[in-house]
Amino acid sequence: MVATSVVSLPPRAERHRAVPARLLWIELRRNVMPWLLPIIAVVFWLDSYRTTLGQMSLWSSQTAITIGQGHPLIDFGPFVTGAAAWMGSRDGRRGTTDLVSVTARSRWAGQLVTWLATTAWALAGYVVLVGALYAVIAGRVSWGGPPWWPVIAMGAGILLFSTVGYVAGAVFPGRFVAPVAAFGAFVLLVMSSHAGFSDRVGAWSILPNSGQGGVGFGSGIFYPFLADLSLARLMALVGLSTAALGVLGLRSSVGGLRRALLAASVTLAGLAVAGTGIGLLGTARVEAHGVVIPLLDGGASDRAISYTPVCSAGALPVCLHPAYRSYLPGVAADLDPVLSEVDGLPGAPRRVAQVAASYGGPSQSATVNVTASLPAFDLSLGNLDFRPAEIAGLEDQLRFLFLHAFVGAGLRGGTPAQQSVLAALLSRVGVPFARQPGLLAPSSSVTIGGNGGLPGPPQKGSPIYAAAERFASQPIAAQRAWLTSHLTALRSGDLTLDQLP
Amino acid sequence: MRLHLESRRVPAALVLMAACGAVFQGVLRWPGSHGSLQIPLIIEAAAAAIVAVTTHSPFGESERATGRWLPYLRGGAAAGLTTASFAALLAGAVGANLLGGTEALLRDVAGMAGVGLLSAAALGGWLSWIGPMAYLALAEEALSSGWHTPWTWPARPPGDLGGALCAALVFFAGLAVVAIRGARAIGRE
Amino acid sequence: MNIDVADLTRRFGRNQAVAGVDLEAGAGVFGLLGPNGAGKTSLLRMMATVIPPTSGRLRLLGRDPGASDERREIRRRLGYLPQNLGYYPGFTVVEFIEYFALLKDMPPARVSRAVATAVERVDLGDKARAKLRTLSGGMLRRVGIAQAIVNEPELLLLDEPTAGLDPEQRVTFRELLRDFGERATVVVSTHLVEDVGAACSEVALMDRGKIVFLGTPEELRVQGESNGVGDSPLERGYSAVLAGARS
Repeated sequence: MVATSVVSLPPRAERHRAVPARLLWIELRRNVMPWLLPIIAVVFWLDSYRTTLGQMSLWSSQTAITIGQGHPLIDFGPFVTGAAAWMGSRDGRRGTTDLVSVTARSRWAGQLVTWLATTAWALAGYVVLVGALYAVIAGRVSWGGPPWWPVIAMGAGILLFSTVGYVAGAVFPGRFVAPVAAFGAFVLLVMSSHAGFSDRVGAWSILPNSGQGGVGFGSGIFYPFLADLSLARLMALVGLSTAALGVLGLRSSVGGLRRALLAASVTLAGLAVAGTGIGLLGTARVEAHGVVIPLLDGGASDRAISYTPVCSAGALPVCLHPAYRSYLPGVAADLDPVLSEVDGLPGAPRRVAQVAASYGGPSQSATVNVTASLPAFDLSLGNLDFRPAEIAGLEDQLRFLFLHAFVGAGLRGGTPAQQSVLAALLSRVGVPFARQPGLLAPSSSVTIGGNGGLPGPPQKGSPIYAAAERFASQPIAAQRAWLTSHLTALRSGDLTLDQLP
Repeated sequence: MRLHLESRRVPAALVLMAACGAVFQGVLRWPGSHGSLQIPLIIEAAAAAIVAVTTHSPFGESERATGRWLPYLRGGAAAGLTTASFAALLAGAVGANLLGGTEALLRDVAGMAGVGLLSAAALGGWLSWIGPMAYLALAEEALSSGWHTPWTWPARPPGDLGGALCAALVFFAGLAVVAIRGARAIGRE
Repeated sequence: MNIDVADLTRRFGRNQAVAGVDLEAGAGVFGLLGPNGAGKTSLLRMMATVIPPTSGRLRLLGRDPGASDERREIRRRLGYLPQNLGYYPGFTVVEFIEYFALLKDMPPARVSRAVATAVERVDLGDKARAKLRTLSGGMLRRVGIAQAIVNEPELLLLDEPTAGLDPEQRVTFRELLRDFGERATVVVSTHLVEDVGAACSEVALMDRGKIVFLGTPEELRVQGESNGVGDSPLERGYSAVLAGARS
């Protein structure tokens, strides 16, 4: 005799409506991830937050390193992977596999709810911490807006680590799965970081902590934040996460053809999206305004953000982007002695204007660069740091770069004659010979054409030094007269030391 | 002894430590990690975490009534596994450029194993990997920020006495706690 | 028949755990007795759709568990308590039972009432909000029983359900079994013959993967009247049947 069911079942749609929400609520309440969030918050504070606040008060500068290099992902990734692996291995560890595998709701569905709760906690923690960081930055900057796409791509990175960790835990539910997954993620992330510095568009670029993430120091100021790299990463990371969840479904669907087909479809769809994203990443190239993926770019990389520069008062104005308005007095004061010194000489600047730092250029790591196409002087301030601890020496470096461009040394160290005149002029604008050798030290924040290793100001006792001392000892009127008549030849590199007065 | 080690999955732990040694060799030879203390440190912390995770007992309370040998078994297993992890990493460093040398490797592995053992006493064996992971994050920050406290010993020079003493103190404290009390019995879900 | 088993076998490698079992059961409480390793748990796990049979016919609640749609319908009407109950230590009693009620696809509107009823039936009302890690072994067993019965199953499979229960709870539990047996098929695998005597309307005795006795508890008792060994008539019947099967 078949017993009559005492539970009369309502239509299927009605049954399913509220169940996942309630299951999710239980899983959210009993998840290990929130217990790890305080530790992650401390790591985030030590790493991402402190790194950010050490930068110049511009959205690009504050986010280029922290967000561009994916610090939050490194802070979250290992813990999230380990916690997700722990949650994924729960039924195996606790011996509940038999119980949960004989319920009407599929094993896959149950696992997806646990995964969703785990991932939701991780992403919620990420949103809160990055949101707090952005709120702090917003309070410090007065111009422009934040880059959002790298943040979203990093969120997808956390999604991937959570998913891979969970699936690893479900497949290998032993005691070692959580530490192996967590430390494996850490190794992967740090290797990606290291590789990204030398290969910004290579295989490692799939993770959002590799390279600069398309956030250059001119991003969001002179040109838009480019979304190309983040979009391709988003596709790759979400695709891989989806495929991993599909694999979990395939494992859990033994004996059920329809469910196996669904899981296989999810896996294939995920792989297709991931493959597209990885394929797009393969077409990425580094350009002046960031990493460009032609199929995703749509001309965004060529668009400039229009602005009206702010200029210092005086006969020779120093003009900066309005985002740098607060730095204008300092930069103008630093350049004032050199501008006065060269005023009236052939090729003397009529205007000094700030230009964008090049993302892909060799000066990406530099903070300050000056190039001259006389009589216009282009000043790239990049990640200029005007904090008191950093500013010492900056005025010397600015003056050095300006005069280096003025004597026509260009992207090279300059001819001996150019170096001598440069050293003499520097000594006249408040940078004595003794302070000059350190101006192009490897740790210097300035570059000439992006190369900080070129021979810089002369060493004491050298012929160049002797000629510089000789030139500097001339009366001012004699110096100016000589410069007026010889600047063109000096700039062309035709003069020798013997021809200096 | 053999049964105790098997109950702690020590054979599997030894296999994982051998794998750590192989990965260690790989990352030390990887061009991207040249001059980096960061990546080798992660492998060292992973080996320490494996030592910590083996402290989980599948027997629960029933084991606590098994007589006076248990503390020796626990302590011996933890000390032996720490030695094995050091040996595996040392073997993995053969022929590669190990920054800091053997001295720093021993200090870092032992210290982080101590962190893991203390973590096992506080959080349970299953979740004890969180301790070495958190300490690793701290140590990586110390390396990049140039902190000088001896408690972040991986950022100290190889021959530094303060760092070595702190690492030794943490290791022996962890060893003593795990030997006497064992790992905490229940982990949070 | 809610359980219709014919020539059922299950192998684990070279070990044959179940070796050709035939069994039919309708509503009522069915006792499954046998020594350790007799194949009781393997048979129960097949009936619980945890593992598929190696060969033979298995139909549950008139459906084929080999077909995924039918298996789903069986599982919706199934209650199962495994021999070793796994549990989530951080869950409360109510959460654990509710969790399984939801996984069993119960109508959401009925879940909270059903959970409350199940908790009361196993007499854990005062521990409803306690974390599972704080409960004794007997209480955990009752939580396991509660999750098995929360969906008012038509087929209830219990593997060693009374292990760890105190005598008072055991008596209450037997009443629960009899109550369920009036409208569902309850299969109880146990070592404790007194449970069978008190609650079961039918009993099977397994040895070495086969059913060596099938009848009522009274019929088993009769088997031991002449040559059985044991303290109670049922124990004597049990030992006599086993001795006969092995001779």
